[in-house]
Amino acid sequence: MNRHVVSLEGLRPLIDEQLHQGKDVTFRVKGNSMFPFLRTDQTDVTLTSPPETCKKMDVILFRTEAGKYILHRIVKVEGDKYLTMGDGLRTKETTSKRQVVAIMKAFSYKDKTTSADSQSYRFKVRIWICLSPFRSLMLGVFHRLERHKNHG
Amino acid sequence: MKIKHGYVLRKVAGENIVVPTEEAALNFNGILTLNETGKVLWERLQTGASKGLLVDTLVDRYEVDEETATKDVADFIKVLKGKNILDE
Repeated sequence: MNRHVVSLEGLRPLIDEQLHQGKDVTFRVKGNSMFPFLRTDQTDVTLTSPPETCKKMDVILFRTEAGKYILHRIVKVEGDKYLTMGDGLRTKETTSKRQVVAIMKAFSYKDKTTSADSQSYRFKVRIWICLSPFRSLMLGVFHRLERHKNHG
Repeated sequence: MKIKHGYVLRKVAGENIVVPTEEAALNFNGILTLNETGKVLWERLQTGASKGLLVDTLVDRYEVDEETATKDVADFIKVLKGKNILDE
């Protein structure tokens, strides 16, 4: 009856089973790598089975060669590989298609659910990606706004 | 009392996890994991059991007094009811 933290690796069989049945899985986001779009301990993401090929701007859950599970955004599709980056990070990584476990379908924050297909959300993402050369500056501004909102 | 239709107990990564089978999404935030005692009570409740029978099950299988068992059963029922997975 206790609440345990079970690793994604451990839950993988159950996740795969759900996805194969055409069902979705929902998680609370851990970590700020997708800030400002997804907030740690506050945003829930709903993931579904990935299509054959994902698109630029899609958020994917993938397993690294080291066995770590990561939720990052595709910033470029290069043949069989994806160039991914956390919205709140400055470094990109290369991920192959077979490492993709699931794709984000929607996310919920404070009772508001946004579809990953939402026009306004994708517009904001496009701007965020365009502004990536200024990411350190942008993140600084957003984090400051966030602190102000929480404490001021 | 009985566990509602559409919930199964699955052993994943050494944990007893309650999985809803009829919902479109599995939400890992509200996921319920059961310890061994919870598993025993769950199995009883799958076929239907009274509070008295659940208490007796714990007293019978574990070295607990009736008072402790009654409290454990009440806590367990409260959790299941809170998640709306128990039929009266």
